Amino acid sequence: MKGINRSKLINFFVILAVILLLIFFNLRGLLVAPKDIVFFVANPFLKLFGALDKGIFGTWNFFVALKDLNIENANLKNENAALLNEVTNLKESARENESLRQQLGVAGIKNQKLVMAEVAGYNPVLGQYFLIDKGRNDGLYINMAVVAAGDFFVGRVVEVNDNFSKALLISDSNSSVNTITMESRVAGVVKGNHGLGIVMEMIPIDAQIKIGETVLTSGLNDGIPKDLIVGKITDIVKKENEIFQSATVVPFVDFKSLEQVFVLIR
Amino acid sequence: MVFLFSILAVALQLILMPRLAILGIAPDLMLGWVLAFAIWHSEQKKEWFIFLPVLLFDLLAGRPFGVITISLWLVFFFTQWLTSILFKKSDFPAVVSLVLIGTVFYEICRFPLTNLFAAWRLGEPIELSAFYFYAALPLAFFYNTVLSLFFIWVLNKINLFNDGSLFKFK
Repeated sequence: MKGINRSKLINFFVILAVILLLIFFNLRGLLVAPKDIVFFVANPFLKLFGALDKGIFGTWNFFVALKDLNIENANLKNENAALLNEVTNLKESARENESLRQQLGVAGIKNQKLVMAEVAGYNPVLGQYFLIDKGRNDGLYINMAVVAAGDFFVGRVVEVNDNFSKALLISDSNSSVNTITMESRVAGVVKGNHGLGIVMEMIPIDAQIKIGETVLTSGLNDGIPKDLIVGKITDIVKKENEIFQSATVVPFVDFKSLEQVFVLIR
Repeated sequence: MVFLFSILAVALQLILMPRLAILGIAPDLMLGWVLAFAIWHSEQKKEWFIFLPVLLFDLLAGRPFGVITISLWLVFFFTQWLTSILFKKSDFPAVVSLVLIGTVFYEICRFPLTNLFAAWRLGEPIELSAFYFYAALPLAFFYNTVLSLFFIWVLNKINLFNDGSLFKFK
């Protein structure tokens, strides 16, 4: 081959053969230990950079947020007043619900076990994945739901090693979760939009959904329980001659600033 | 030493690079480093310098494992070959052209490999969309150019292999 000497060509094929061998080993599950070792070695550096990131970008974000503080404060006060009213009503409903359950002899919803995990890294280059520092040894399995504090759905576990795992964010284009709107009870599928946001699709064109409605998981996906909060509808897109409408959904959590998440153990 | 630098690069890629993302596209340190190393003129290049960080990154964050390593290894060899036969005068436009070709070649390798692995349910397929062509690819090219130029500058500055045949900008 012109421009490449023999030794370089041999090097190329030798390393290519090594890579193919490693891929084969991975398919046979023989790379779990090396992966865990790499994670064990890299974890202190990941934590160090994480602390640096928190310091630098945290301070920067604080100063950026300062200018909008007054408006945000006023909005939060209004929202707080509305929520207080809602909480009072919900408490009343909860009491009635509990009383009815007792009368009918129906057991309450069983609480799921949670495993708290630190977000060890985030890799948007190859899709919207993030690494968490819990793995098979902590009881994690593929397809388990990952939530942020407050039952906000974040994604699901897609790869598990002994001591760390990879979770696919709901904002990834390959993510697809069955959902339902909280008030109008309209079902749809929430999909990621290249990591830029999430969209609820497959909503029948005649369904009446509202802007501001909360979207919840419907529990139809394996490993993802129902009633996890996905986000809030901010826009509805209806096109003529189409049988489905779609809605832009804004998550309640900023995925990039997540530090801890919880994995729902079955 | 190479191992330590590799681990540092992996940590940087996973923690700080996502902060520089525009439209969800973050700089790819590994690709930038591989392209810079392939374009950089030196007779004493050690393949370990690219193989180890890429392998460690793939072991930790690659999904499915193997796609990044194999794609970047092909990119390294292909770009190095192009550098030696087409762009012997390594001035600025040649470097930029090589980075563009390298970036496109990386995507060409990555796309079928990822979809092949996805067919075996080992990962998620890449969905080609208009966004990919008008945003993801140009941004990736921009980031890789900046990173590659930076790495070439660093390689020149620290004179890593001290062989006297370092790449010089005109």
